[in-house]
Amino acid sequence: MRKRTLGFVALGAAASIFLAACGSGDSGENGGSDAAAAFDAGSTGVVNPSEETGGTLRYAISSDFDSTDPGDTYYGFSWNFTRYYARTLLAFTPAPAEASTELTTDLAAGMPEPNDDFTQWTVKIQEGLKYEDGTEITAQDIKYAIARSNYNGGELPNGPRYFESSLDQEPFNVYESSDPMEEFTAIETPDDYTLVFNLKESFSEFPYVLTQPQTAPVPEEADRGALYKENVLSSGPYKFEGQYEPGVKLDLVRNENWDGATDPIRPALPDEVTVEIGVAQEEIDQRIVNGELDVDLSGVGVGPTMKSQFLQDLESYETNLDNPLSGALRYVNIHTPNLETACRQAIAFAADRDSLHRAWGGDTGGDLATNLLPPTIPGSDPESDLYPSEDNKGDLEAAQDKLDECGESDGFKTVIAVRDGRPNDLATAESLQESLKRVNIELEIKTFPAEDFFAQYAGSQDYVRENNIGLSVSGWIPDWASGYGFGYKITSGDAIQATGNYNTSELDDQEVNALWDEALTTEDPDERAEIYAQIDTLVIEQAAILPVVFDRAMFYRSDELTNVYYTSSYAMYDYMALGVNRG
Amino acid sequence: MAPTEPVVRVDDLRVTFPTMDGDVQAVNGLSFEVPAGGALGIVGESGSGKSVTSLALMGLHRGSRARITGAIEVAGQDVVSATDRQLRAMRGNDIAMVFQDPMQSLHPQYTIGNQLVEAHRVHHPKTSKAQARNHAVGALDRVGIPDPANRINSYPHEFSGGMRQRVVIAMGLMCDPKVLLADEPTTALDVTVQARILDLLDELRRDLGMALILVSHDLAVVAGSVDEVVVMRHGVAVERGDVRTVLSAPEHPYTQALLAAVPRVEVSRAQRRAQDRSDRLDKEKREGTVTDPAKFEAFTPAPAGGEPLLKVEDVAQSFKVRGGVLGRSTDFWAVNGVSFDLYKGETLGIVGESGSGKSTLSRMIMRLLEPTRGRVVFEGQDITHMSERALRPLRRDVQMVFQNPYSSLNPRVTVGDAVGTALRVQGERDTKKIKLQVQELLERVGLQPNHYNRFPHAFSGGQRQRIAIARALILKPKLIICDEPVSALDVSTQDQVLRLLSELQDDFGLTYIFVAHDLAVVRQVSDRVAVMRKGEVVELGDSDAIYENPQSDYTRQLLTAAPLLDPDEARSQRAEREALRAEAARTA
Amino acid sequence: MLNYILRRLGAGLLLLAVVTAVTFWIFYVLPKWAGVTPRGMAAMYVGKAPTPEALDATVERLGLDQPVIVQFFDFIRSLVFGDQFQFGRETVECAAPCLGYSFTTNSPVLEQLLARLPITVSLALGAAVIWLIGGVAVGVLSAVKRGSVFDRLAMGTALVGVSLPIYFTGLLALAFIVHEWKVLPVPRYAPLTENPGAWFTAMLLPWITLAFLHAAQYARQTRAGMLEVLSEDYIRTARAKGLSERKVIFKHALRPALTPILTIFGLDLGLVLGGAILTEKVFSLKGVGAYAIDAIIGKDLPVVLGVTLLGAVFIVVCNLVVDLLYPLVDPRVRIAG
Repeated sequence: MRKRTLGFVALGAAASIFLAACGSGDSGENGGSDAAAAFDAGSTGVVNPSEETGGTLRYAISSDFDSTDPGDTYYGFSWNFTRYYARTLLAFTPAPAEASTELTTDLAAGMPEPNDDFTQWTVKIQEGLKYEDGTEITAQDIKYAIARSNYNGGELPNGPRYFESSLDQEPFNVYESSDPMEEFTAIETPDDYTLVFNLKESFSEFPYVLTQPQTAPVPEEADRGALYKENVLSSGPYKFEGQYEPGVKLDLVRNENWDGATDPIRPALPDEVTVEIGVAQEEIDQRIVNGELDVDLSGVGVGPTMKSQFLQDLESYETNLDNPLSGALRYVNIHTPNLETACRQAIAFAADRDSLHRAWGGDTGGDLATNLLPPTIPGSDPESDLYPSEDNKGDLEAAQDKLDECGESDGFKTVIAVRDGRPNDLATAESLQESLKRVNIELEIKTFPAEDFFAQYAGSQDYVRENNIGLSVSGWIPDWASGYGFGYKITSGDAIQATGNYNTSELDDQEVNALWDEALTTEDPDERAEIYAQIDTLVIEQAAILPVVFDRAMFYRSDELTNVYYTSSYAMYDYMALGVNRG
Repeated sequence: MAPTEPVVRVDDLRVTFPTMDGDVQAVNGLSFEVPAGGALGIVGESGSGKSVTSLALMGLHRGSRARITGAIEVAGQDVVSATDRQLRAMRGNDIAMVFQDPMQSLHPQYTIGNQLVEAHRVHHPKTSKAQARNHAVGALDRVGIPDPANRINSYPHEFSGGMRQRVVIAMGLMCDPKVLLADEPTTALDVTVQARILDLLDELRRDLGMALILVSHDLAVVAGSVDEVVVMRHGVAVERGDVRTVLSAPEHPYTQALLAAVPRVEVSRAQRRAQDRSDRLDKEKREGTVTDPAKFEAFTPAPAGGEPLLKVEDVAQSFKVRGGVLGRSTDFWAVNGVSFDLYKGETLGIVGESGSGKSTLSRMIMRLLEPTRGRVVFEGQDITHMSERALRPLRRDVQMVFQNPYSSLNPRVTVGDAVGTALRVQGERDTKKIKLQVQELLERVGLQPNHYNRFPHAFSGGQRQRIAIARALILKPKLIICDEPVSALDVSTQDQVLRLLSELQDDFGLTYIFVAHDLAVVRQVSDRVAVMRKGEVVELGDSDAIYENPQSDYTRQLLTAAPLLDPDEARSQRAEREALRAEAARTA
Repeated sequence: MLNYILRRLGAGLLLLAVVTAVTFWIFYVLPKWAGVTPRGMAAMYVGKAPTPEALDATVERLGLDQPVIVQFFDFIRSLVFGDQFQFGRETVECAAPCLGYSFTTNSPVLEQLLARLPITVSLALGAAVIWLIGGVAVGVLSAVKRGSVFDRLAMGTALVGVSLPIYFTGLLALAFIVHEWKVLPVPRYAPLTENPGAWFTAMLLPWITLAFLHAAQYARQTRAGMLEVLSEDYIRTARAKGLSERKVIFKHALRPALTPILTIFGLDLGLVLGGAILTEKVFSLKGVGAYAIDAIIGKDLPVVLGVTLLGAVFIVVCNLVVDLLYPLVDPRVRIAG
């Protein structure tokens, strides 16, 4: 659900598709590590590499942080940004594109060590690390930080609950416990620099969880609950200047107690970092183009107004634009309770993928998808296509065969659910409605409030059954870029919930479930990637999910920014690397 | 006063207003002269062009779309060809104007002192403020504003209507103009106030040697104040000459008709009724639909005795008036201790000036107001505190005709609906029957049956009042209360409406309560008259008795104030008024 | 007089109570009718994929399951007597008038309001001066030169001005004046006390944009009022005195024409002081209006209540001031003791 992803960018392909669509010339170099400013250069390499420090890096955002408290945030940009003042146990490698999905250490002295069945993980942190006030960072502070962000009785409601669901821990509340550190037994701290995590079940991908900002240390006595976000005690290269003012601003200045030598991921180039909050999207885009701002903090790319301006006058802007994959898959759930397998496959055959692709904005909107896992994820095979057809227009004969097979030769009627206020989703449904008509499958389009879509409508088992909802338009971005991080919640039978169900098609396939279990006990990432590839094929074969596009965002890269590159781990520029050169 | 060189000369004046439907000639070939110190009356009914003429004299058509040809000369200045600057120098300085409605013609947001001083200083910029102020105090004193040195700081709304008109006149005097132009200066005022204002104008003219142009719809108003009169009709002067000659021996039929229509206070009820009936007989003879004269007699009011239709016993109405720093409210008695009986077929006139309580009284009888005290008995039934529901039958039996025929009819409702609604309210469902009944009645009040589907705006004031009367009659009421039913109408229209009321009384045996401020009108329609003042009845009795031999001072005062058509009598009455005032001043 | 003011203030307080009650009602009762459970409401204040336990805890913490009436009186109580709030293990004192803490940002509402007020007040007062003077001037000129090219042009512009939404004119102004032609710098608010120059340049465009909308309306109203007054008898009297046209218009006609404008002005100023939502949003000004709309979107009750109350206070006060000024402008009006 988050704006985060790992994986690699489909080199070249992305750029050439985009440019071909716009009738522009060749795209120049791809894949170079130190690229000059050129189209899409930031997606694959470092633009304006520099070690020069100084200046003020200016961010702006139209909405706001969910919280600046690293223990209480779940926005991708926020996870990227909080690293300025909150160091985590592990981190993603500071490198462009695919290289960024590799894990590296931050506070940790080395990578975590699992036991044989991946139920216990041990990690050591560096000694002598300091907070902004000069006091030392200890393992207990990290343990407390994890405790407060997962067991807080709703005081800090925003963050994910990966620790709560994986740690072998009785529920408790840090703010009501007389001795929370004593009560929190799932994490042991044998000494000031060692953490031992005890898990309920095998979890081979647990180190990814340790990159999350909830592992940033918070001393127990500094914790002010929901008010902590006003002024977070910094462990990183920058600290709060004054308070964070919700809806208004956040200013950061250098933290003199941070030691660059201990920090493998932060060059910390600018002297100051400012965030203007609540600036209209159009204005942010315009000001970045005018050089009055540096980065749109939200990291989702330019707004529709500016995007169409770019597309109309591509040549003027070309060298400042990056058009990377966002890491998201846009797809249609085909609900297993209401439609049999052969019927689902008939839909997959009959769908006009070309039209669906155009409905999503064509090549500028994203890449036509025929498999489950986004190309940025190890194990993905974008070339695989189980329902091939000429020009991707759909195979109507095969579809009719499948309809015969499921006993609905004359077609059938069902409902497709769409989120309100999402024109692309609606266009997807309309395109599908049009193409399925060709085999007499009639779709009735119904829209539902976006905020309750999964809680009450498409994600409610009862509602889906009572209202004959056969399909629903959806989208998914992983919390971390692995097959597990992307696919578990939307395809595992164990993830099905009565309401708020993200395995919306309710696929409960024994083979798929078994493969997920196997992955969590497999140590080698390459082996896991192979398992994920098998799951991908099975899910598509079952036609529980009809992939539509892997979508793309459009970023404007200011000329005054140095060290700019797109990190797949957060699906935006790596904020830690950025510097400014006002030359 | 020997006429010398004319101070105002109008020669072949034509004023044309271009409209969508072509040009409208508001004034067509008007000529007259006013000698210095002379007095001219311009008389005409609405639409005669008299006000257009007075505005033209001031050059106030400048900037509008009116086209003016002919010559206008005021104090030697050609108004038509003058520059704006010359015109401004003339206005207020050579010729000052007093307008019709004193409530509207003063600026509500400035003190009268401010407005008077301004009037002076615009023509005498060198005068100091203090001097101009002294001048203003003098002018206010001259027009009879008591305590002028203090009152000069008051705002217009702090004056009564008559006082405001005096202020306007004082403003006209600020630059000692050669001509005072008064356009309907007394129309909105009470009789006694009207008399005083006319007296004042006459006095000023004599004392200051100003020429006076008095514009009015009322011949009686100009009769005693001018030397010469111009009678206008549709923009044309139909008659012009010495006021005595014109009034005593009018040549033009229009002037004759106009004079005949003016209600005369010296004509009694009996005379008027006899006249009306014989006129009607003549007319019906011509038309061949003779009504048996004996039938009229049947409706001659029964002599006193028997059960009265309406009995009013000591009624009073008080209103709470907020005031004072602490917001304590005091009671104001709008009507206090009024009693009378009214018999079937009779007309009771209630006469009084504004604020006398006559309208409040009629509203109490209608039970639109609940009397604070006393009893109202209608047909032997005490209706004083009857509930709205129980009053419903009464609503049918007692109807009202209001003063303003323009505002009392809903502009969005057709005439037929306006008249027929009452039937529907009373439960009649048959639309055809309603229509038939309404059309019959429309015919009876002198309108056409095919007026049924028209909207009120298509009718003149007199016709509207006929509609209002038809509306009152539709339910065949026993009592009709007419609240100033003719005071907004032109004289000739007024006469027609009065005739109609009289005929209807003959035909239907109606009982009227006729509320009005015009003494002459009241006398001619009323069998008995109640004179009201400050909420109380000062005199009640047979109308002829009251008019011939008034018992109270107030009634006498009213009668001497009533304008008379005979110029000589008017002047002698003015002398009488002055004597009365002088006496009052001495005794005070 | 004092009595009158006290009575009006009393009525104002009553109004505030009603406004608060209605806000509560809209906030709690309407969603309930629409079938939203306390958990559903809690989901608005927690992260995107909350656990049921987190939802329950939030319901409990914000008291969303309490009856509306209880919540309403709790709010009134803390407003009058102050309150205490618990954050983590920390207890925070919130002195009267306590408007509580935001559901979404946990920041004290009153403090936030006061911090944002200078921006909104700067915006409102500056724009008000411009629209009043500009609108009235154009209206007077239009009325005097009725039917002229100027009149038609001005009224045409006014019609456009009245019908164009702020986000249109504002964005247009930003795009051209700031970004395209760079006549003005990007508006970034600076307090008047710290940097008057920056304050002025930052506010200029928002002022003009907000004023344009109102000025258009005022021009139309003034024109209509002037035309009406110019046909009054006392204007004829003034002309009959021989006064110059300028004096007739500026002394005699303008004052009565402006009198009703004063009432509208009081109301408009009160409204704008309560937050000019669109203008603040378009120009990214962090004023009360922007705070309000964010709170409404985020269904942040304490903030919604706070801004509503503040807005109501401004309207009550502005109307009172106008009513007290009225007798000075129009002597016919007297304040009943």
